[in-house]
Amino acid sequence: MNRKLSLSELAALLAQRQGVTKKKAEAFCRYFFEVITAGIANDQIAKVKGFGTFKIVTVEERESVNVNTGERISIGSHSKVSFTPDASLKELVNRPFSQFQTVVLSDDNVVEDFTAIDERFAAEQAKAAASTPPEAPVPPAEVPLGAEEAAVPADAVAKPAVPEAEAAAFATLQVPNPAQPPRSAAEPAPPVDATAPQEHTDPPAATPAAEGRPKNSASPAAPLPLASAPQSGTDNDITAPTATDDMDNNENTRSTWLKPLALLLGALLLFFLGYLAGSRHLFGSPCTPLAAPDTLVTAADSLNPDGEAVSEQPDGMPDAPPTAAQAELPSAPSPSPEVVHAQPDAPVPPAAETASLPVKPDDSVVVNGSLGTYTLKDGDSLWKIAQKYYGSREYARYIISYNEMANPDVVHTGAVLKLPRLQVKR
Amino acid sequence: MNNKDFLNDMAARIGATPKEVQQMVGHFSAVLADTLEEGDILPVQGFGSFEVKKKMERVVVNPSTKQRQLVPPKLAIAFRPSPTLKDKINEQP
Repeated sequence: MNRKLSLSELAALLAQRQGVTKKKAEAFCRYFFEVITAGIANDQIAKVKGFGTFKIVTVEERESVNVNTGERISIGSHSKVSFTPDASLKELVNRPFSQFQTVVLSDDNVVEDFTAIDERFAAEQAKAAASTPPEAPVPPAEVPLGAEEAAVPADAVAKPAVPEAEAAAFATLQVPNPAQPPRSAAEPAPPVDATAPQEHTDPPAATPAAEGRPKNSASPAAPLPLASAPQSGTDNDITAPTATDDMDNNENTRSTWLKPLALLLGALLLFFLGYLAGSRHLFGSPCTPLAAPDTLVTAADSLNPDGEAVSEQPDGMPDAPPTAAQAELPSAPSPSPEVVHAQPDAPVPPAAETASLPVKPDDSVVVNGSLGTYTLKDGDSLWKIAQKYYGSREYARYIISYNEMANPDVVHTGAVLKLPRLQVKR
Repeated sequence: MNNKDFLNDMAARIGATPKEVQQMVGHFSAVLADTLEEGDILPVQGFGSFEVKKKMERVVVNPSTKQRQLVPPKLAIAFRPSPTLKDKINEQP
């Protein structure tokens, strides 16, 4: 590297390569440059095929500045030797870099190429960073775990969260329950009160309203607990670590036996949340086939002015019917056993609807809009549906006519029926 | 002085045919390239020195088409004349 070759060394290599005598090679090398010198001296140019061209170039007189003194000096016209290597020599010299080729750069592909390179570089760096400190991601995972388990305060924080979730879950579970058992068992439980006053047209509307309100507030709250439960869960996660930060120092020993306990607790919580989600799905879905509660409210409202049975309750009605209807909603389309149960005490379901309609349909009942849709299940029949929604199985013919059914004797499970909103003609 | 003159002159001096001389020139170039590739310098007394210089890659713009091209890095052979050669040339009018 960077050593100075001598012509004799070169001649030796040449002789070795070409298979000529060393003497001849040396003579060649010596004369080679002599001849060239003579050639450029005579003709200003010397061309050697396979090596290059030596040329004498005259440089014209020019002015320059003495760098040290700043004086302007003129550099006289002179000649200099230029050497242009032959193409073959160029190639030979450039052989190590011969795989490179000139690339045309367009403005857009430059950016793409560079960003691609940047991304690859970033990815590699990330990979390197991930591989080098393997301990880094582990501690955060451990800390919350140990944190939750570690300290008594952490438990204290966690416990309030659990009752919250439990209460919320309880609310969701309780809401449908009060509605179901009273009807099936025909018990005079509080929820029944909501429907009872309507049947008897009792003046004390305040109580049903009061009864209805809590339920009303509870049932809309039903979806909420699920939202709040995760929140409480996250609260739990958030507060627990902070608590453990304080406790980390002195509670290490305790954490050893508290850990399984807290793990168990967490598992229970998880299980409970999962069950909650599942149960919510169970109880939430039935609402869809029916008309939404507010449509029922409007139905009840529109019925009130008609002066039919229940209309004596001015302020109790708007509150009570929806609650009754809502209490009904969850169980209404549920599988056949409940439907069978519902049959005995006939007019419980949409009390407002039932109350406003005559026991047996006559010419005064007309279809006024739609109440919603109903998806048929196993064990359902048009009679049962009519019984449930209109108070009498006689109203099945309205469903049949409203759906323009060709053969009402054969209905299939899963078929979606439109339920007409029935009204007494004025 | 063209290649023919050069070959004839060389052939006369070393006692070989011009064809052989041409072959020798080719081999000489190859040997020179091989050795210079490694960064060596070939100084020739009274003539000048040959060396290989590395040129960095660069972007050139075609003035007429405004097309930009990335020229790859390359190794180029360079000749630096010796002072004796310079003097010899310049003393001639």
